[in-house]
Amino acid sequence: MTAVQPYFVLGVLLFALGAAFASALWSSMKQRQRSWPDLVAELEPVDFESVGVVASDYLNPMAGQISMEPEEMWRLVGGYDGLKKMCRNARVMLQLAAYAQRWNFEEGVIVHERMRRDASSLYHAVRCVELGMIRRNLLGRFNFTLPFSVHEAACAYYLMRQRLLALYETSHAGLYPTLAASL
Amino acid sequence: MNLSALDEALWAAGLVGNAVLFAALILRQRWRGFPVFTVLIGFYVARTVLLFAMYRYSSAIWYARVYWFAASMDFGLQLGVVWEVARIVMRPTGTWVQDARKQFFLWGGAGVLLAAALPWLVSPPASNLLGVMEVRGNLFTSVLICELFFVVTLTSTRLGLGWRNHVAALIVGWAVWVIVAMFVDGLHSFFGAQRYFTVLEHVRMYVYLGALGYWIVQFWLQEPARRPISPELREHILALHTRVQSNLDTLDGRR
Repeated sequence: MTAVQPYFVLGVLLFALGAAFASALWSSMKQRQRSWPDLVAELEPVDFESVGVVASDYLNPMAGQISMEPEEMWRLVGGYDGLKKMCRNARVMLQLAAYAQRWNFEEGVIVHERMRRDASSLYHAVRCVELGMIRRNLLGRFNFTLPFSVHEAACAYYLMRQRLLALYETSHAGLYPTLAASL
Repeated sequence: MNLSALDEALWAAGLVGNAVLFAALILRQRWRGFPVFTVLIGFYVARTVLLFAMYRYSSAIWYARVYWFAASMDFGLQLGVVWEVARIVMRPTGTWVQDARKQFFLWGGAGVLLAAALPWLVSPPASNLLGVMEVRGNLFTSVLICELFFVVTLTSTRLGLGWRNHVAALIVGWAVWVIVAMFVDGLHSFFGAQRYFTVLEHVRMYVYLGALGYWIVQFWLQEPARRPISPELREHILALHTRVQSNLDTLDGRR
């Protein structure tokens, strides 16, 4: 007689694989069908001015470039919640860049790839911050790389946002001056 | 081996469906984008004709030899289709998207190990070792193809890579078929090659015919052209630009 237990394990694993595949497929199809306003509505408010200050401090070094204290940096990016918001917004921004490929494929696909690299840096920096926080909470030791990671996260987010806006601006070079003149 | 009228009807329907899809892929020039998939469908047409002719006019041993040779080619071509889809989805600029290749090979490698381990969990009821290996081999191939398509889907979704209509149709049709095929092979491993064999194979064939119909329609239709921007979206973007300009001015003022 056939032993049932191995088949139970097999059945569970096959069901898990089938369900995971169906779920991934469903998510992907939903992602394809989302409209532009739906995507924009998913963006969470981030104080971009403050993030921009941290990013500019890193991207445009000037005299006294180490004057910004880590506490100030941490406050400007909105702390850990701010970093998590940036990560969530980065995912939405990637989808917005993918959306722009519908009418501007050549530029959209390249900008999308650049943004994905920025997003990769952002996620990596936030993971480093998370690890540093765990270390600080468990061992009581301050992680000296934490301010660098905050800088990198702010820069990556800043660049992603600028690239996305520039992509959309390029798609409307003819329209934008008219509006600017009429305002 | 005796075939019922239903078996023969399904066999004929599969042949006609594959031939129509093959014709659609050729006539609508889809083979340029999906060469391996086109070869696979053409191969299915040729295999069906050949096996049917051998079933009628040849010996059982030669039928078995050709059947197993065709099965191994089928497996190779299915892996080729997975690779083709992965390349289309994850190389939009002609080079692999950063992280995509690493994730694809990492998870694909894990999938191969899992697919190889799963069939050894079970001992299919069969009269000889060849029968056992046949059931395990079928289970391995369907689990592996399912996992690889899952990896492609998951990786592209996580990286925010969009699918155009034809590749999306290929993935959706294949996903439904391969998930059902995986469960059918799982049930074969429990019941063996005798009990419920025909019923389960009919289920697999019905689903494949459904996928064929879906592919024929989707590959016959043109993909929508790159659309001009809609008036609503134009308004959104203009409003966004105004806000951005204001933010940048503020930022410049603070520096």
